[in-house]
Amino acid sequence: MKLRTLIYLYGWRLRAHPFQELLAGVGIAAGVALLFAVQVANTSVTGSVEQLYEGIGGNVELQLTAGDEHGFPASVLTRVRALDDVAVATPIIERRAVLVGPRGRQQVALVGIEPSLAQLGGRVTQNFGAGGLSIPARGVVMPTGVAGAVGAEPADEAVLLIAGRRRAIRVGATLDRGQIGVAADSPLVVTPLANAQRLSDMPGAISSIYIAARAGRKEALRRQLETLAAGRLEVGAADAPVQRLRVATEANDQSTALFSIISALVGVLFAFNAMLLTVPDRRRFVAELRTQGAGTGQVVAVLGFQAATLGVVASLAGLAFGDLLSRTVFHSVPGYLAFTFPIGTQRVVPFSAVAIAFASGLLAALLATGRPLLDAFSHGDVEAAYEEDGEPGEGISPRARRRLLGGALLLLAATAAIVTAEPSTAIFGVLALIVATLLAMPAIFAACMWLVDQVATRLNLKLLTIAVMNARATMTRSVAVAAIAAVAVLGNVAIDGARHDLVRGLHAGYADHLGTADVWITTAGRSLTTDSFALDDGTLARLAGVPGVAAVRVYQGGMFDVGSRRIWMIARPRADRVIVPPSQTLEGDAAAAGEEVRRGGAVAVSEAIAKDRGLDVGGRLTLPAPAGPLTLRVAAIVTNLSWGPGGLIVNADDYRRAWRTADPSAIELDLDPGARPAATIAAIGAALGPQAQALDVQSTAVLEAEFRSALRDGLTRLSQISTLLLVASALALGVALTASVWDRRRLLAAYKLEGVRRRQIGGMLLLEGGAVLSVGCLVGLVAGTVGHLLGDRWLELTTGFSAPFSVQLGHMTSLVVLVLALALALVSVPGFLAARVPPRLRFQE
Amino acid sequence: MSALELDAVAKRYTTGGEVVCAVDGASLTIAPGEVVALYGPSGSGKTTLLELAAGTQRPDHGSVRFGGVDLATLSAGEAARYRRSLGFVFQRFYLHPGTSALDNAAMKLLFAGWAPRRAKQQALTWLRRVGLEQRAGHPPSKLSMGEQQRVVIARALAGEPALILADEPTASLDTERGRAILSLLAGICRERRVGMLLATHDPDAAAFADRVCDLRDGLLTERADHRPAAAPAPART
Repeated sequence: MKLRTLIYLYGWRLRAHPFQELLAGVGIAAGVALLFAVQVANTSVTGSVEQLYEGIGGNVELQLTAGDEHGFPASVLTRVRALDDVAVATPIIERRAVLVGPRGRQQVALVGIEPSLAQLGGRVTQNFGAGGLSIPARGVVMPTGVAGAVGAEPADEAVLLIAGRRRAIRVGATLDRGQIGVAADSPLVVTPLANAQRLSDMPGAISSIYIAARAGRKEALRRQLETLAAGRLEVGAADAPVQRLRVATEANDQSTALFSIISALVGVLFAFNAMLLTVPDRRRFVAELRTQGAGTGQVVAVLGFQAATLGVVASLAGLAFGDLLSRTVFHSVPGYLAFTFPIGTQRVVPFSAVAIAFASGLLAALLATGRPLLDAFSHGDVEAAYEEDGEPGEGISPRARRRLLGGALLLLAATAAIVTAEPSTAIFGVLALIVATLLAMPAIFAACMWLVDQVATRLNLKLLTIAVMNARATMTRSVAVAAIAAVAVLGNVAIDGARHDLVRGLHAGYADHLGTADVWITTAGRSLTTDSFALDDGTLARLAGVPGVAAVRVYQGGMFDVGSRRIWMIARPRADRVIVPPSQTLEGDAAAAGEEVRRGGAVAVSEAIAKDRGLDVGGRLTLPAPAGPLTLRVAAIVTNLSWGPGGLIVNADDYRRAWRTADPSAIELDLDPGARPAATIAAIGAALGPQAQALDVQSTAVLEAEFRSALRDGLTRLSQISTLLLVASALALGVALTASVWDRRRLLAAYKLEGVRRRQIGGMLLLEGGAVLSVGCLVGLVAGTVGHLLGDRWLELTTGFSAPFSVQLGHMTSLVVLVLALALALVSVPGFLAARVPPRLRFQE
Repeated sequence: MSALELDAVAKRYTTGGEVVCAVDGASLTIAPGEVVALYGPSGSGKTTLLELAAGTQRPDHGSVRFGGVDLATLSAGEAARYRRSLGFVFQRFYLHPGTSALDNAAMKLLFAGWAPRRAKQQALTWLRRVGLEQRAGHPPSKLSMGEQQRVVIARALAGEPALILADEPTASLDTERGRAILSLLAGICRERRVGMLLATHDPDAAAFADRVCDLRDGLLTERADHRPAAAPAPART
């Protein structure tokens, strides 16, 4: 068939059913947009850091790092440069800080560099060489984005809260994208190495050395560096920080992946269901073509061309809308990562995201053409669509319903067996559940309508009886609408339920962590006991003397890089009430393990690390430390302690000796039973003297709230996905119901002619919509609860966090009310207009 | 007293800038139980006259009265109430697919406020009357065209209308089934004392009427020599 004929026939369809085609297109576009935006948002978190480190490092091949924030002596640099195979070796200082300007504050990474960094040719740093961008010896430069966020201008004074100190800094310059490329969107403050050492209280120390090897000598150099490191320092690949971020975001990525998959499926289903609305018309069209002698190939060409055109146009519109979503709604940075990784705000759009979203939209459009295509291939009656029950092309025979239900039950049984045998397949269980729900929908819908009809007859509900008749008459559309509602509710209940349980589990873990003291002193900002600071003995003595303070203990540790993991090192004072929290213990006896760690030489290890290293209780864990490799006995296996890459619990004395530092990362204070917390906290602040400006003194409850807030930020994307899912569902439902109502205007005219009142028609349409949606919501609630259970199980297995299952009746009820209200509100306008159809229309046929 | 009374009714339309006189000074009365045929070719004004009788159009001149009340004076609500007292039978059936013949026949009663159980009993009575009792549970797609038209008749009569307006009710049926349907409809109307205005272009259909009015270019003339056809016994179609 010629292209121009295909175009002519599609033009014919567009003129005949512009509204229907538009609605199908909107449905496909909504699904594609959702899928694309979620993918871009996920990629951008690691992508921004990857771009930043590539931009800084350029040709760097190896890194020598301290592993923790205290760094190592700068004298090591001289020894590295003396190695034969080193082409370039440049020192770096990296320390977390809070930048305070006139308009606000922002967490940043203070980066200290030398001009030799430019020799590595990184796009971000190549301009910092001799003759390029210069940084004043005691000044800092920062991206325009960061400067703008805090209101700092070149030559202004700003403040850096770093390592428990308040440091005044001068802004030498702000740098834009043209000068430092992608780093312009990253939270950095850059200064010469010597100034960074001064600001961060690290005299004579550096955090890492970036090294480029001579041609072909990389592996030889690695061996030389490992000899030099002697188990005290880490030798890693150029992309080691990115790998660590990947591990850190794994838990978030896994959970987001689950929900992205659900969203993707929902998106495709929306698109598919939107196309289903056009199926009856297309089937009638096929019957017409075949009656007039069109061959199978011609029918396939016509249907394929129409579906492909609609799929392509709608998918392109969906990509544009998805792009807008990813720039606006999904643009936030997960807060719980921002305090330890310099995550930028730039968007990274991989080709795969575009391809997957586009292909899904196209696939949905083509899949939905399947039913009309079957008519084209059938050898029976060419007008089969007119012979079935229901409006021509709308029928789903009892036999087809039974078959689909059987398929759904088989799928569920098989999935239940597989998930029971292998719990890690729970994610596939969620997907199978969605598919089974859709397969079972025609049979469930028919059964529910029968039940509603019985109830309506018994209770003399006239309009409801008519509404049920109408819903049955357009079975395919009604089932499509119910299926959209079911999948929307299912997805939302599963996502929000699992998210809620995950938050509860994480929060319980962190509450255990903080439960050992009444008041905590930490560095300013949301550092959550992970940044160390200097505190002299005199200050500690003053704190102990504050009225109302019963005990003062030094808590140590922080983030610690080993291989591809940024591990949370928890170095607890021996005097803590609890060392190993029972609620987080997975293997071993918590009390006995706590005593063992308290005595020294033992460690509680997170499951993720234990799995990584093949450790069991009683095994030995060796860590690189400044005082030489530290070997500890594994006393217990614990959860990931609310940090994806996992944590280690040791006692503070072991830590102090191995890491050769007395710097606390928090001070724990117990209050006297009768002490007034607010007054005591104020007195503690006063006892800290000038350091109080760079430290936070918070009650355990406040710190818990801070963690909850960080957690909320971290899981914001999940909330956004479920909200978008709901909005997209309401839109899709509105679209489907609108199409269903609008196409029935002639029938409504017949009612009107027979004296049926407008409000009766309106009431009937509302009841019909309500009945269909209610069936969908009910099925969605039941399937969603099972999906929630499976989601919890999968999250626990993949993230290592606990996610105890709990049914949220309040949320479920409000969700159903919201879906019903939104969808019915959306359809009320076309319903109102359709109810105004003039009765004369009935005569004009 | 006549059920419906048209007095010198005229209706004009403007189509493509041209004024078309669809009905020009038509006068007609229909007594209870009387079947009157409007006979004429397509475009002669039959449907316009039916619309005027249904109150969905207002005449430019003259009046349409039902039970002595001028339809032009009715409010929208009163007009709807008037239409509820009528029965309609059309060429296109507009039966609800996916639901049973019984449900279809009961539909109008439900809208009229009947309780579902009572509405279905009443509908079943009328399906029995038109010979479809055994087919009451079947959906329209499983019924023949003639059977579907019988469901429409049952639906129209179940509400015990005062007047039936029928627009080409046999146009979708073959001659034999058409005759059977008209015979049934006319017989019931006479028996129940329900007036019927039947618009048709089929002389066989017009033959079933008590009176035939020819309509051509909007002008209505009653045939003086018309003899109603003998009604054959109702048969299943």
